[in-house]
Amino acid sequence: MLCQKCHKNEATIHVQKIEDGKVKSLHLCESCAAKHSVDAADLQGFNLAEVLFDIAGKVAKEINSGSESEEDAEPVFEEVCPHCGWSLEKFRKTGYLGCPECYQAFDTQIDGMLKNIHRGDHHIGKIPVSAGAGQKHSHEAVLLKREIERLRKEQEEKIRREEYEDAAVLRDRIQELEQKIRQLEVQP
Amino acid sequence: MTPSEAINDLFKQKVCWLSDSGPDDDIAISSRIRFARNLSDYDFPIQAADAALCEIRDQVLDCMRHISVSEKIPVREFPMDEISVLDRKFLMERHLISREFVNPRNGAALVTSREQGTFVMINEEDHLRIQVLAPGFQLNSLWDRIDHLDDLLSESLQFAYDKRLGYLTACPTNLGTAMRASVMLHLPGLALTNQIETCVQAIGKLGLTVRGLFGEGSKNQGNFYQISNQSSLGESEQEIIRRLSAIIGQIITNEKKARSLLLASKRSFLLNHVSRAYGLLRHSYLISGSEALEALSALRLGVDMGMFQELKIHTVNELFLLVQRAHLQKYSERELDQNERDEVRASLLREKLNS
Repeated sequence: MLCQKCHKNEATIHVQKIEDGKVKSLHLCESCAAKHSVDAADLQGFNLAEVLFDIAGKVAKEINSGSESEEDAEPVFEEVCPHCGWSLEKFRKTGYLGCPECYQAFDTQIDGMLKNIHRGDHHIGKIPVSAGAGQKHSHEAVLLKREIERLRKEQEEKIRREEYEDAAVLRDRIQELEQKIRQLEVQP
Repeated sequence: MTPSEAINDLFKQKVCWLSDSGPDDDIAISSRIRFARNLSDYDFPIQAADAALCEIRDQVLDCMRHISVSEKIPVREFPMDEISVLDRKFLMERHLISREFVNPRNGAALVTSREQGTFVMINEEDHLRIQVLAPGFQLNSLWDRIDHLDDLLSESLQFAYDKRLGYLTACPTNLGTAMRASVMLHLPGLALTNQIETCVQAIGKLGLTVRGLFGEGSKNQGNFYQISNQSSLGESEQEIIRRLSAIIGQIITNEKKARSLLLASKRSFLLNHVSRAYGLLRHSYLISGSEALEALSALRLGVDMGMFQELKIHTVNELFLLVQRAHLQKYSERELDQNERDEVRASLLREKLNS
């Protein structure tokens, strides 16, 4: 069967939904499905979780086996999170994970999905105040890193306004704080 | 104060993000930022046992009580199982809870500041959904507020966080910053000049999401469009806000252009559109919800463009809220069937617009 979007490639992803008692189907090739899962207008109402999941699963499988699998049988996702008991199958059906540990238990599947959902796969941004709580040093390091982030922004602003002397003061301050963090990390 | 008395108090209280003025509030109704947070020691709400959900609720409520005192923000607590379905629908119409919360799981609760600009949903999709709202287009000031509240909460709550993936959320679509920033725009000018479809498509291509008045799955009734970021991982919060703000700034400029175009080249079409809507609102004895919403949208455009000296934009903003189902029933203090609602809605509009 050909893909309903590009009418060129073989459709490998099949989505079904039941609406008003009628079964509606959508057949897509991998690249169209990947494209359309991002601006999901055509998939509205379809289970986006399953689509994304299946793409991720296929990619992971190809990487592992080195070639496309020949099996056509519906794959079974038996893996279970050792912490909470949530299964990969439940994740596939609902799009939800059971607990924070699931991210580790199902990391291969999730890593494959991230590129389709987000603009990157590494967090940049806020760090919780409590990250590293209990370990005084790392908590301090978290606070210092935040302070550095704030100073960098201020420094950029100074450079933009061509106030280079002020920017240099900030640069020195940032270096000082970075040195402090290094010291904290060296200490046990 | 019992939860139901507290609801009645909220009903009488003005909604800060509709009644106060804000930047660009002729086009931008309100700005909102929400953070999703989870406690590291518990399963996500979908998997957690009832007892755990209640523990989570009590911990968060306790924490919010302390913050309420230290920050001097009066708050109201609403355990979902202690309030009626009608009251839940009322909270949904106020945008304080989501559609899912109308049929909540155990341990679901809402804490909101009395002016309804800061609130936390407990045990929705994630353990905490922290939200701040403000009138007009002002994401930066909202960022400062929610950043501060989040810091206060994370001093006593241990949030699930991973160095690489950021804040861990029940659904991987919210990973990373776990932030969604959005602005509710009123775009009748783009709609009347047939540019809205192109605009919505362009926004989608830029990696942003467009929704209707009531978030996910709601139609764009009354020419309201909620624009928000889609991706939450890979960019910092400030970067997401900067990118979103730049695009929203452009949409606002285009809406302004469309409005001046209408005024310059289609003056009688515009006057006809607005005045007929005004007539309908002032003289109907039965009016449906969607009819009222569309007419109010036209009236709002007229007020924004200076066609009504005596009518204030905030009066019209509040009417958008008051004509909705649950609000009408709170207003008449009883349950109403559809026909009665249309009648009460019409009489409310006549009263507010003829005075």
